Amino acid sequence: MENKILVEYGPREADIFADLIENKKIPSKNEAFRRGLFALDYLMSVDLSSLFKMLADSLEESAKSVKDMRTLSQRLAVSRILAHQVVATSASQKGILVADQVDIFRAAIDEFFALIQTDSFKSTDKEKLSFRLSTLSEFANQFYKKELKYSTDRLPAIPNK
Amino acid sequence: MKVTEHMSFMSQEAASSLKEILYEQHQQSTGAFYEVFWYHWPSDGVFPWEDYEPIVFVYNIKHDLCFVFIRRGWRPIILDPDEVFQPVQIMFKLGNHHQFVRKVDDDADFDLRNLSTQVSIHVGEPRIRKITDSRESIPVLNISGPFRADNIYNRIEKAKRISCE
Repeated sequence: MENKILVEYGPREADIFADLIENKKIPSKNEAFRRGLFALDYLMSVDLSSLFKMLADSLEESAKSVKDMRTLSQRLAVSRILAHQVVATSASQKGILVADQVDIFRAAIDEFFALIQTDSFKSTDKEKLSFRLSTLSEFANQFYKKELKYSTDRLPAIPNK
Repeated sequence: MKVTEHMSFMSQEAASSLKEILYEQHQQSTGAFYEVFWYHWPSDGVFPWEDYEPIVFVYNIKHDLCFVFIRRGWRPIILDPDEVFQPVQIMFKLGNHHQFVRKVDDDADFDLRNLSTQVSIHVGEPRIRKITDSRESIPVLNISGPFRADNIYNRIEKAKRISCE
């Protein structure tokens, strides 16, 4: 390796580093930095508005499946992937603190998984669950519209002929 | 050690159903210490279990704030002290009372425009109930999470060892 930099980081990154190394998810801090940078390069070009739209649609599909735990679990798994992707893409493009705001989708979906994986699911009011997922879907739709407007506003003006 | 006073914001419904705020403080021989505020609701949104949402302030050996620790959707989240707005403000969102800490430059994130629709609570000595052994007051689910793989105290201690001692 020819290039070296001094990196400053805080308790959050220190905790993430420790988890990655201790659990052997990554061989070294240096490798974490290299992979992070490589991933960042790709994530910078992801269309965030489309991600929110997919998340909204996926959550709505999940809302329709609350009576069947197996189908709900499968659909929520897709929502969960998208929710993680939304946080990672937001962090890459807008910064960690902005990404923290949209972590609410990941958090809510993880709560649903916690419910599914305990015995409590059977006794939970399914209509309320469905309403909750639909609300989350609508929330994701609001982010979609906001991001769409943001990306449209940033498009270069077409010069008049 | 002095209790870290802070402001909390939540919906009218969340404020009226908030049962109490439990408080515990853990001190180390090094001088570092942390305090946990457990916001206790009778239910976690539509989910059929009691809700204890932790807000944790971790201080280093010089008693400077080292980090703020919250757990949202069972995932530990650490905030650097220079990111956190002072005095500390916490907002609990949606039925599951997901915690968001106000950051120094985060007007949109913290949704300041809608703050007037929220109930604000000043949390200090008169508002809390001190506990010495959380095992007597907090269910195992809320300490270790639904999969019992991530004890909150272990996570706090680990992060504290790395960054604050």
